[in-house]
Amino acid sequence: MKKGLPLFKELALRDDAFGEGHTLCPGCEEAVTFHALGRATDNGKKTVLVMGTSCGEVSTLAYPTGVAWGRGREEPDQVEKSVGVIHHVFESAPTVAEAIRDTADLLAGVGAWSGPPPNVVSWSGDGGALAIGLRSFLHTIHRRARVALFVNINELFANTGFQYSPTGIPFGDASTLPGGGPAEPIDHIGLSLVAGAGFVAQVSPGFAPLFAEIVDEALRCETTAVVFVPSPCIAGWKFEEGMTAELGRLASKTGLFPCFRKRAGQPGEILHVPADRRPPVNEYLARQRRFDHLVRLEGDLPVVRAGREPEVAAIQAYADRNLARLSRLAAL
Amino acid sequence: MESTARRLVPPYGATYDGSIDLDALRAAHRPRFLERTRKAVDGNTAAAIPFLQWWRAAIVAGFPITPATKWLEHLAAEVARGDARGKRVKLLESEHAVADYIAGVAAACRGLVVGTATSSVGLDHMTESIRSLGASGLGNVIVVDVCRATANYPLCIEGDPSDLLAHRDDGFIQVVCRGVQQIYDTLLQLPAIGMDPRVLTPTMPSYYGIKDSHRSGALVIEPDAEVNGFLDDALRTAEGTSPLVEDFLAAEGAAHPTPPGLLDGDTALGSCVTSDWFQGFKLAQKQRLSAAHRVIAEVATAFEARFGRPGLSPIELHGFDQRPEIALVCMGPDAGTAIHLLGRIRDQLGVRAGVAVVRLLTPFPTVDLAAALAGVHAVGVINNAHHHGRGHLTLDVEEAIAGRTAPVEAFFCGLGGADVSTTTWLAMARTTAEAAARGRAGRRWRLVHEGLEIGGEDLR
Repeated sequence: MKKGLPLFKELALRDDAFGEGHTLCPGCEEAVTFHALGRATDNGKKTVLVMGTSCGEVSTLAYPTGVAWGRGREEPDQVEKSVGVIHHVFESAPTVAEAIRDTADLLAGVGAWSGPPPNVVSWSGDGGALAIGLRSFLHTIHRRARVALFVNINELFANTGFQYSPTGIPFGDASTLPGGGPAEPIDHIGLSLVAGAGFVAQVSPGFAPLFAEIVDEALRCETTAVVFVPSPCIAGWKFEEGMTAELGRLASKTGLFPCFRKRAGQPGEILHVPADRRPPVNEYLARQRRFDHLVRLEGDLPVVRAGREPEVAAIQAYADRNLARLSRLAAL
Repeated sequence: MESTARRLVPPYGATYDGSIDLDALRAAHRPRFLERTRKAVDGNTAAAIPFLQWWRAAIVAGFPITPATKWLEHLAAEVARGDARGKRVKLLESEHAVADYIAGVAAACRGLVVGTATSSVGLDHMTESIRSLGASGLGNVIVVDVCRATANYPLCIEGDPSDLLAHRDDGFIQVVCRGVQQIYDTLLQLPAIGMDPRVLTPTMPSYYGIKDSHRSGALVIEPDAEVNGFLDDALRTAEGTSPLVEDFLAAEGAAHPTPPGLLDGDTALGSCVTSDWFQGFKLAQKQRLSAAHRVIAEVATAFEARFGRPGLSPIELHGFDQRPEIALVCMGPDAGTAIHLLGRIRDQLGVRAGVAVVRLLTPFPTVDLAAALAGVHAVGVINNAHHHGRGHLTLDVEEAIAGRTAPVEAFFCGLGGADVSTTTWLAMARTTAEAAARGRAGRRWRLVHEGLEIGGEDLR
């Protein structure tokens, strides 16, 4: 299996299943993720994509003009190039994906499906997987379903107008929680591991070679693979154009959403967090207006607003504990 | 993969013929019954047996809830015996997950039949997904509802159809059964109706909890070869049938296609639309549901020809050959008591009565019922579930006979699965006969229990 940059280059040359017609915001990280998924699934296997209700769904699966999924301008000649995509209800994508895998396996078991096992990919927002959809998400993992669960984490319910999400870092402004609150993000990686996932990773497509590796490994996983994709939301976070990939990288470097990879039964690893010059969280916060009540930029320097030092310190403390916690999880 | 051929199904995408070899699944099926067999079974078992017999029912899913649990337990036990190659019972963590799961199976391969059984708040818990399924076009879904009162406060686990009636608008074809033979025979016919390309609507067979789910009776089980032959023949006959309604999505002049599945197709299901497009989708859903009336008649005729028992009838009529003066319209197992009492009603009350038992709840057989009630002087409608007004069934009956002068008395009885006793039936018949003599209903609604009118509301 190729690694890193060579794999990224190889995937870039494959037929993409994600194309024109989507209405994602300019600067949205999801489009980058979808292109990577669209290319990685061009691997000689039929692809079925299940989408929970989310930005990614409403912006790429709009009849009749906005269905952005499918390889080529016309339906391909080979079933292995084809894509079946379904949106069911908000929180159900993992369960629906599991059903599709079971159906394919059962048909294969009696000789009714003779092709290679299909790629079955579930796509959820962080609300769809970790708030309203936590039941579906955990139980599909618990049953060890052979599906790849991708969860877009933009720390908000972006699709419905940037409401509070349990994945949000503390004190981020949300439409239902102005100024944010002290609750720390739900331990989505820990939950996935203890539920029994075979492969758990967190990575932003801002780290393109690593992202290619992880997507490829998730599709190859023989049990449940879970990939969390921290995804800067230009509309909800309110940052300057051109900062999407950089913010995705900063989320990792600060320790707030570090790149992480662990295979069941093997030591995990935390990646793209500099050990010696880890940037403070206010480098990350200051570039998003959802934290404008805490930190602002003066030139290129973050400045904590007077009286808001405790909140920023609390976020920094969370980032520190988060790294320590992920280190413990990696050692499991 | 073996040779596949792309077949365009505009505007749904493409199907890859040959990518799924359903003949292989058919060949893997191990028949449960090689010849016609008579067994004593309860209602839940009668509803489970077809899923063991259909080669298309490769996967069933479930989550236990009283009084439907035996359906799941029976299937799990049979499959666990190990002689069910090509079958799987999937246990999930909640009813909502079950509904999501069967949507996935049904969408993955539209040639399969996939089902579950639930009840009461279990059906309520499925609601979000069930309502989506109802609009999905996935006619290969069967949700068996074992009727039980919904809404705790107070909890009551006996059977009344408040769950079924609360889900009238979920988009399913809803059929009410009574007795094990009717349950079994109805199940055999429903996929032929729901999967017909003119209908493509999921189905919800139902029977009352406890009274029918747990009561045993003699069941004639048909051999698997006949059960599967009936369904295969029906689907083969229906394939490419001229559309009954205009499919606003299909190309002009195209026959009704079954859209591609996710595994064997290049397609998208469940897309977003603007409200402009939504109108067309909803119109098509309504038209497909309406088309079920005609398809039910075709399937029922074929069923009777093959098996020698009556096919699914939208309404059962009893005593209507005697030109009844009053009619009692009801559904569910307590109808049997009323039918048994027809002679006594005539003798004691001096009135000829007929009993109309509603089988097809959705889409409601308005035309058939109107024809049946054409000559009666008053109608008593028996409702077994809580309703804010005169009763779910009353509203449908009143619509069916709108413009007629026959008064309609609305009764509630058997709530929470209570027995509808002979004294209750006689009291309701007497009240209906009085309305016929008076030419108008006496009260807006009445609650009758053990022959006593224990509550009601006067007309305003």
